[in-house]
Amino acid sequence: MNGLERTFQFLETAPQDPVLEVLRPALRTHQAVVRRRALETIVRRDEPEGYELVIDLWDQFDGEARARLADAPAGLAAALQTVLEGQDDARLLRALEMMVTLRSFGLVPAVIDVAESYASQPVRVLAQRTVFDLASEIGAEARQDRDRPLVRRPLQRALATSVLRYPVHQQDRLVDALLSCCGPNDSELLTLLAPGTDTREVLLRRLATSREAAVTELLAAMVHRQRLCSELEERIAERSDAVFARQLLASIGDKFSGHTRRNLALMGLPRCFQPEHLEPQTLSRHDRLTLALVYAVSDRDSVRALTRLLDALESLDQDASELAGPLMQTLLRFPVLDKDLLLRAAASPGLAAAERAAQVAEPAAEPAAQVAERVAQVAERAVQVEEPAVRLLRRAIHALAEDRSPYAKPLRRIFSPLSAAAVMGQWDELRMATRRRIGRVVLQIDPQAIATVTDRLRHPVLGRRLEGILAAVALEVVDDVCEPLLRMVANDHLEARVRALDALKFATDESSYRLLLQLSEGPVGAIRDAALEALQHRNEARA
Amino acid sequence: MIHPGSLTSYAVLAAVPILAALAGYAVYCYSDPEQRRIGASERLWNQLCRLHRISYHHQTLLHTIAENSDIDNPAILFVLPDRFDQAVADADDQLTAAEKQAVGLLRRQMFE
Repeated sequence: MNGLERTFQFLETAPQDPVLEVLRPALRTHQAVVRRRALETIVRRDEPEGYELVIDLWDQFDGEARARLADAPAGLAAALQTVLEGQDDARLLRALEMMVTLRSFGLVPAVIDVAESYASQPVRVLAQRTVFDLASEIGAEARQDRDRPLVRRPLQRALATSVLRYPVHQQDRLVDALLSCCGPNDSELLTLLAPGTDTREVLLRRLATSREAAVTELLAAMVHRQRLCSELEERIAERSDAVFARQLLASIGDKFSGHTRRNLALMGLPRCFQPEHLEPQTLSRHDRLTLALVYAVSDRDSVRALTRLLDALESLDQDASELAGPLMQTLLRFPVLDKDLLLRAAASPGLAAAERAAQVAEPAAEPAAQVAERVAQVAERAVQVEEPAVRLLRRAIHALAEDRSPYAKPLRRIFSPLSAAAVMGQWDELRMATRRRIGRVVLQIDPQAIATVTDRLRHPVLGRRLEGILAAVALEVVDDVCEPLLRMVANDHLEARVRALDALKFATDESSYRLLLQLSEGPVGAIRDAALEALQHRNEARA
Repeated sequence: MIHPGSLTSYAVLAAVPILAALAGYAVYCYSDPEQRRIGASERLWNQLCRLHRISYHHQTLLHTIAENSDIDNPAILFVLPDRFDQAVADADDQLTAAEKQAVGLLRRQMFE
């Protein structure tokens, strides 16, 4: 051990007064070793007078020296507390700066009084900043599941008491400090937010208007709450700033639950996610996927919501695998689309044009390159004029055409208003061309369409059987349901027989042709007329 | 002839003012903060000198160097090697060759 070290070891236990006189110049020397050892000596002595010296010389300490004080015993906190209770502005400013550097969470309650009502404005402002910084730091830890309740709770209680005094001090920063140190389910916060309390209004106002990231982060985390009051719902739905949008996306993407789904569905698409406030291109892939999830759950425009959801599901990869479950769940729970909307989309010429584009490829005589070009041109024209609902329907049809598509089952449910059974009663309200267009879509959406039509043709009620005949023609499945049609022609009510004969003009099989020939030679009447007309139609079609 | 009992009485009478003077000085030293500080500083100086086994002669030399540089509390020289070197340089003209040699020894005792 060298002489200098022996001196400092002696000073660690030597009597008080003259030791500090010796250590004071040692703390200010440019020799780093001496300075560091002098500071250690003061910490080991752990006396208020020594720490007062440290507070006085704080501005002259470098980062390393300041870091060493972070592990100082309780004596330093006591010395800081004494300063905070005093009226020395210069010392107060230094003490506040020290608190932030040393993370002195335990002293925050003592600073609150200074922050509320200290005479000097610079001191008051710095005290508020100090309270806020420390409160938001401990709150961020809590919201990231690294809570330190023994540190946070006393701080939270002191801030809650300060918020109760808000009418006296009117310091918004202290309200922000309370909000920033809270988790969304903290009882202290919920008590102050309870209906009928004086503090509710000021807290809701700060949640709506504060620009502090820690405050908006709390508001974003509230979207997962089991019970979310309408006022908080409104605050989440109404904020439109970009910071909040990203925090809300991060929060939702982080832990999406049934409560999150319900809250978003009730509040509707938050304003911050609406296209005029948020450009999806500026988001990361993960955030875009989360945004699709939010749209799917909360957007009142179900076509836009489902389109985004399918986009998201198709672009899922390993990086966002945690979103696969919520996205699929959302698809499984997605509400059935509106029937009128789907019928309009199915009847749209745009959809037919796109289908024609796909059929262009069939003529074999045309060179492949030209065919591809024509397909692209027709498809492009079709897409340009397509409504979003038509695009979505076309997309669903393509997905359903794939045997192994994992989305087939939920999509069939979502598009079930276009199933054969659902549209059965509406054929007679439509023109023939529209029936055909819708019928082609129904056949692609509903794998049970032919079975449904067959069942309907065997229905005991005449009206239902007539619907079945219309459906068979609209779906162009007359050949598939020929057997029940022939039975109707043979045995059914006159009107049904005539309608069935009318439908058979679209058949192509020989047995029905022979029957039509036979009936056309029968007695004069409605049956013979219908058979003749059908025969004429079939002959023209054959020619 | 002086009675032995009277001798004791004279001794007691003579001791009273002496003790009173000593007590008064002690009260003076204790009640005056400056005196108390000087006393404490001297005690610390003595303790540091004992700690580093600095001889009486060298203590005097160290005191001289400190006084020459207007250092109020010479104990600070024990924790500030650069200040010690500066003070020695300031007093260079006044030191004899033997004292300069002693300063080197002192430095080693105090810092190395």
